[in-house]
Amino acid sequence: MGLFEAMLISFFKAFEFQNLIFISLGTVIGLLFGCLPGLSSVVGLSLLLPLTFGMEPLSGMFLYAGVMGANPFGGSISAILINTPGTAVNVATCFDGYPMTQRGEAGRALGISATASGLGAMFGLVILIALIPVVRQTIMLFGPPEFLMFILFGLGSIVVASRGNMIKGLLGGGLGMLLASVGRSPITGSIRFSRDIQYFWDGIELIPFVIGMFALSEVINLTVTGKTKIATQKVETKISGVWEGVKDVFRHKACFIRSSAIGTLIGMIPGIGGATANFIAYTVAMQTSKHPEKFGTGIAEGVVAAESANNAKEGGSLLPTVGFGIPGSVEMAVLLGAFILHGLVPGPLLIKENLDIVWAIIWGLVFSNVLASTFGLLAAKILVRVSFIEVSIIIPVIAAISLTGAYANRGNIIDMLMAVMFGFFSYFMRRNGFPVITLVIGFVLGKLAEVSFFQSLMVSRGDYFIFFKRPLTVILLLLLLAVLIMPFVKRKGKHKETV
Amino acid sequence: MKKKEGIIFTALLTCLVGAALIVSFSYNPKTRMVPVLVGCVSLILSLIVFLGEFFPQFRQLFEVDLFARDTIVEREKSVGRWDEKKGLFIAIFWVLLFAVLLFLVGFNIAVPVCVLVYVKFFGKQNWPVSLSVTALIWVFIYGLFQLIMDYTLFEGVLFGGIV
Repeated sequence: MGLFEAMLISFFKAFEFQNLIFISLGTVIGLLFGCLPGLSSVVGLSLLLPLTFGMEPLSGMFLYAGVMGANPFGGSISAILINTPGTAVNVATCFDGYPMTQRGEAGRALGISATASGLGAMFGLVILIALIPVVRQTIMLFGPPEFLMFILFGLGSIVVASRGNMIKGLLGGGLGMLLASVGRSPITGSIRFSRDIQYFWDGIELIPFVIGMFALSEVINLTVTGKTKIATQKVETKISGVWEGVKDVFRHKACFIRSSAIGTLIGMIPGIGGATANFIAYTVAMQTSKHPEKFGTGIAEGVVAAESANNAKEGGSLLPTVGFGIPGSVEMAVLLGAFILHGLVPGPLLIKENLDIVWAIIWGLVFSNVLASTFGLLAAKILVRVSFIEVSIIIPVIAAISLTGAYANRGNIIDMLMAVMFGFFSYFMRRNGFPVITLVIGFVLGKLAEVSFFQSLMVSRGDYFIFFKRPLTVILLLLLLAVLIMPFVKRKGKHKETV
Repeated sequence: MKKKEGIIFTALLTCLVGAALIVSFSYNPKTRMVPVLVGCVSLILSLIVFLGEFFPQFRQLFEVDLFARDTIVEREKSVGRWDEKKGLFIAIFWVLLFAVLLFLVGFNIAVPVCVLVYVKFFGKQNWPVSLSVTALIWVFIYGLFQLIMDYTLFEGVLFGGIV
C-alpha cells in the first residue's frame, strides 16, 4: 500500500461514525486519566488492551491514539489548577501554570496549554509524516545484526534516561528478557523454564503482564500510601481569559517552535520520553528568554515551552515504535502490546505492510488533540474535580476492571492470577528502586532480540564477529557504549566543577 | 527496615536469576544460548546491586539523574489514612482476597463483594455511597462483558468454572 493511499484510507476511516466514537471515547479517557495524578495514560492503555481484543485493529488504534493524544493536556489541567501534575510529562507545566492560577489567570494558562498542546502535537506529527518515507528507506539498511544492536541501544538509553540506579535498570532489562524466554524457544521449539506446567508453554501472556506491571501495581501503591484524595489543594473555579492564552502561543512563536522541535527530537530517542522533553524545553526556554528571572513566577513562555514539548514528543516517539518496533516511551511499549494483540508485527513489517495502521494512529492523535483542546477547555473545571474523588473509590474500580480484563483476554483464569503476581512484583520493584519500564521493554523485545541474534549468526554462518564488522552495528555499539558511559563522564565533570 | 527489605528483595532476585541460569544449562546449546547469556549478565548485575545494599558509597557510583529532575521538582508527600506497614498489609490482604474469590466463586460474586469490602471498610464510606459504587462497577463489568461483548465471565471453580 502506498503512503498516500494509506493516508487517505485511514483519514476516511477516521470519519466513520464508530471510529469517531472511539476517538472521542479515547479522548475522554485520556483526559480523565491525565487529570488524575498517578494514573497516567499507561494505566488507561493497559486497561483498554483486553477491551479492544474483539475490535477491528484500525478501530482499536483510533481508541489508543485518542487516549495518548489527550492525556498530556489532561495532565496539564490539574498541573495548572491545583499544582499537581496529572502525568510525569506535566511537571514543568506547574512551575508557571500554577502561579498564573494563583494570580487569577487560570483561564489564560489553560488557553496556552490547550493551544500549545494541540499545535505542538501537530508539529511532531508533521515531522513524523515527513520522515516516514525516509524511515522506509532506512529500514532497508537494517539487517538482523543492526536490529539487535538497535534493541540493545534502545534498552541502554532507557536505563540511562530513567532516574535512579543504572545497574538496577539494566538488571530490570535482563529480567524482562529472561521472562520473555519462558516457553517455546523461537529457534528450536524446545520448551524453557516451564517444566510440566502447560500454561507456560506459549510463554508469559503479554496482557496480564502489562496489566499487572502497570495497573495493579498502581492499585497496590495507592492502597499502601493510604491517601484519601489524589489532590488536596483548592480548585480555581474562575476560568476566564482563555483567548488571551491562545494568543500568547502566537506571541511566543520562536519559543513554541524551538520547544516543539526539542520535544520531537527527544521523543525519537527510545525511552527518554516526555518528562525529559518537558524539562529540557523549559530549561532551554529559560536560557534563551529575555526575562529568565521571571520563569517560575507565572510567565506565559514557561507554559508554552513545557506543553508544546510534551505533546510534540508523541510524534517523535512513534517513529522508533512503528519503524523499528523499539518503543519510544512507556505508552509506546503498551502500544506495541496492542499491535501484537491485534496480530500486527511491530517493527519494519508494520511500516511496510500495515501503513494504514500507522496512519490510523497519526490521524487518531491529530483528532484527539483537537478534541482534547476544545473539550478540555470547555470542561476543565469539571475534569479537575475528578482529582478530588476519594481514592477508596478509584482503587476498586481500577482493580475490578484490571482483573476482569486480564481474564477476558483469553478466558483463562490463570491469566488473572498472573496479573496479580506481576502486580506485586512490580510494586516491590518500584519500592526498592528498580525501574519497571526496563523490565517491560526487555520483556516486549526479548524474543525479537533472540530471533535477531540467531538470524545474525545464520547470516554470518556462525561468526560472532558479525556485530563488529558492519558499519551500522559498530556505530550503534559505540552509541550504546557512549550512552552507558555518559552519566559517569557527566558526574566527573560536575565533581571537577565543585572542587 | 527499608534497607532490610532491599537486601531481601535483591537476594530473592539474585536467587531467581541464579536458578534460571542453572536450569538453562539443562537445555540444548541453541535453546540455552540467549537465556545463559542474559542470565550471566543479569547475575553479575544482581550481585552488584546486592553489594550496593551493604555499601551505600558503592551503590551511589551507579546512581544516575542525567537531567537533574529532582533539583527542580519538589516531591509531593502523601498524607495517608494509615501508616505504610498497615497499608501494605491491607493491599496484600485485599488483592489476594479478590484473586482467591474470583477463582473460587467467579466474577459475579467476587466483584461486588470485594468492591464493597474496600469502599465500606477500608475507604470508610457511608452505606449509600458504598452500595452505589459497588452497583455501578458491577453493572459496568456485567454490562460490558456479558451483555455488550457477549462474553461469559468465569463462574468460579466452586460453581463449575473450568480452569
